[in-house]
Amino acid sequence: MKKFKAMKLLVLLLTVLTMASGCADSKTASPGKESAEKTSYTMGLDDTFAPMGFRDEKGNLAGFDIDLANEAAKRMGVTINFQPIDWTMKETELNAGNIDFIWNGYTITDSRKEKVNFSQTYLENSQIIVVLAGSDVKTKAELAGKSVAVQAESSALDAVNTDPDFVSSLKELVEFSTNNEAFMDVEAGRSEALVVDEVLARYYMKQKGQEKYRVLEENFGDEEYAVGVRKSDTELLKKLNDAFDQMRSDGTYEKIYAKWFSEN
Amino acid sequence: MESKVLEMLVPMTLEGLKSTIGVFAVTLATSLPLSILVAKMRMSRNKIVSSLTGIYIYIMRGTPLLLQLMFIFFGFVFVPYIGYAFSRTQAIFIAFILNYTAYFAEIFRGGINSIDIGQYEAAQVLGLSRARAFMKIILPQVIKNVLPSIGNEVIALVKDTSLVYILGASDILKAAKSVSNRYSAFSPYIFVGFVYLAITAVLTKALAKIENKYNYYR
Amino acid sequence: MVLKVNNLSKSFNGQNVFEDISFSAAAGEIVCIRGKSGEGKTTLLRCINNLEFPDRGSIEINSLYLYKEESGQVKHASKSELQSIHQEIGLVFQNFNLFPHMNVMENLIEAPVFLKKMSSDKAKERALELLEQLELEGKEHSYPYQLSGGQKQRVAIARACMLNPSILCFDEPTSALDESTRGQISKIIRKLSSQGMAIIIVTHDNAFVDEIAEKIITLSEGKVTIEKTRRP
Repeated sequence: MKKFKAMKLLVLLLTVLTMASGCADSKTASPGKESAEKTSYTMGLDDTFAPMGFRDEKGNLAGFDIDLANEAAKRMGVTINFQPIDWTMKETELNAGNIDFIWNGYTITDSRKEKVNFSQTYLENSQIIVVLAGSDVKTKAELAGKSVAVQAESSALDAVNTDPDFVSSLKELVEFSTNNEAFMDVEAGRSEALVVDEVLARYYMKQKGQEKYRVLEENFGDEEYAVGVRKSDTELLKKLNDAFDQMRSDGTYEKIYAKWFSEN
Repeated sequence: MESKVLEMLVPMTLEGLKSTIGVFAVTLATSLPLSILVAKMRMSRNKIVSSLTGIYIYIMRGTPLLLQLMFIFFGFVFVPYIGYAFSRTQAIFIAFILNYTAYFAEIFRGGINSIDIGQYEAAQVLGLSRARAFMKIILPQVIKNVLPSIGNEVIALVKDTSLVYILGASDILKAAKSVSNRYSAFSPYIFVGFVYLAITAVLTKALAKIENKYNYYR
Repeated sequence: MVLKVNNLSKSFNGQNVFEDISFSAAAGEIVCIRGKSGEGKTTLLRCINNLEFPDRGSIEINSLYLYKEESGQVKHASKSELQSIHQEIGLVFQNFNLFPHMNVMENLIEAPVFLKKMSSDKAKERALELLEQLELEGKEHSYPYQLSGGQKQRVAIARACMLNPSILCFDEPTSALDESTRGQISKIIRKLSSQGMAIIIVTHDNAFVDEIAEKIITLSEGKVTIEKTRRP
């Protein structure tokens, strides 16, 4: 009798799992295999990252990166899927073969170069320091003894860490999972400043009212956004770069840029 | 909250609710019956069965569910011989079910142990089979005893569903994050906080009703 | 003889509980097993009711062997034999062990209906019959927690009697009761015995033994002495 019950439960479990696996996602690539021959690729993104890749009012994916990716896919003659991932897991997802591109305001850094290959730069950026308008702080030095917020696993964090003297001068460097939370910490007064991508910051400040904030003159350097692919996908990378070249030369890139960053 | 924020928030929350409630329901429906089986295995006289079950329960209760989600989706692929690449949905269900089964199993084990042995013996001398005795005599009494503890875990499960974010899945908390980032506002989080409260309120009421039903005897 | 116990021995963890016990009970006979606490009388009763496994010896219930000694080993009855044996012998526990989550009627009909020995309707009829005989009319929908000690005991008796066993055992039936209810229990036991049921009672209540026993088995230091009383 007991074995019967065990079997029934096992069957129930397997049914649930099979049904569950039938729906939704499937793997598009396996690690280690050259995936240039495929006809459909998956782009991994944090779908809450405005303005690069996020959900619009209707819940559809929108953003500068989304538009670029769709265009590039057309040039490459492939279809592209978008897979929301957790940003802190991006390289893991890429190397596991769950996604083929990391394309979501992904900054080129040396440490990341060790893990992935980058396409050509498609957007320039810098890591700026933002404080509230009423703050007295005007330079990096004046942040000594204060808290500074930054997004975890971001190039902002990497940039800050290239200046260890600065970091040790702080009361603390607080990491948040999103830039939004970092902004909120500054607005709450717990952190004096945040270090953040200029691209994202402009978007946020425009939403909230530029007059509330001030950008320091000093920053943590200029950066470039590019697309991350697996080291083994050399063919894919070439095709992607070719697509980018095309888009620049025929004006498509300009159009998309203007759509998203017209007030730059 | 501005109307445009609400306009985006409500549909996204409803969409996310599918995940939140879906994971909750499937986990509960599967792990509750499964956990009774596991509890019996844990109490088995067979030392091997009992120890192996004990190890499973120890691992599931001793590591964060978040870690288990990550391991089952990203790490299990590399396990020799049995490694397999689960899909995101499969990984979510597997992690949640394995985790909650372990917790429920320990609760049931305690409940089963607390039943007076006289009940088993009375059933036996009356000629009831072990299975029948368990289902009709022991289990109903166990359920009455463990209901409060089970209720606790059920409510914890609702909150745990938010962990699906680590595999990129969209539940109501992620909906809040999406809208929040889109409009650079905090209010979506408050809204979703209330949604969690509403769900918990419904559950608490339901659990109280069930407890009441079992109160027909002392 | 509806019950035959031969050369029964039992020890726990090397400690001898009783050794080489033999006795029998006839239909309708009231047998009392007495002895000081810890002398093993409850263990003996449990062996007869299939709750303990003896080390040596045999137990025969209505010509069916519950335990039989074969080539030095005690053999247990088979599953199908056990099914028949369970119908022939019942036990009223010292603390009754009623099922608290089921009302009186459900307590009574659970086993007979499950074992397919009776249809649900027949079982309910039989239950009401027994309840009337035991002065529990109207209690069939009550729950155990709503009953007094004496009432619970009578429900336990009814439950054990549903399938009309040849032997009914009692473990310390007077320990939880006062004088007046003790009189009630005597009456019930005598009635059952006059209907042909053998009654085996484990008790340390000597007054009760004097009142009711037809055969007295005394356990002392693991050995047994049997005496018949003047009662027919």
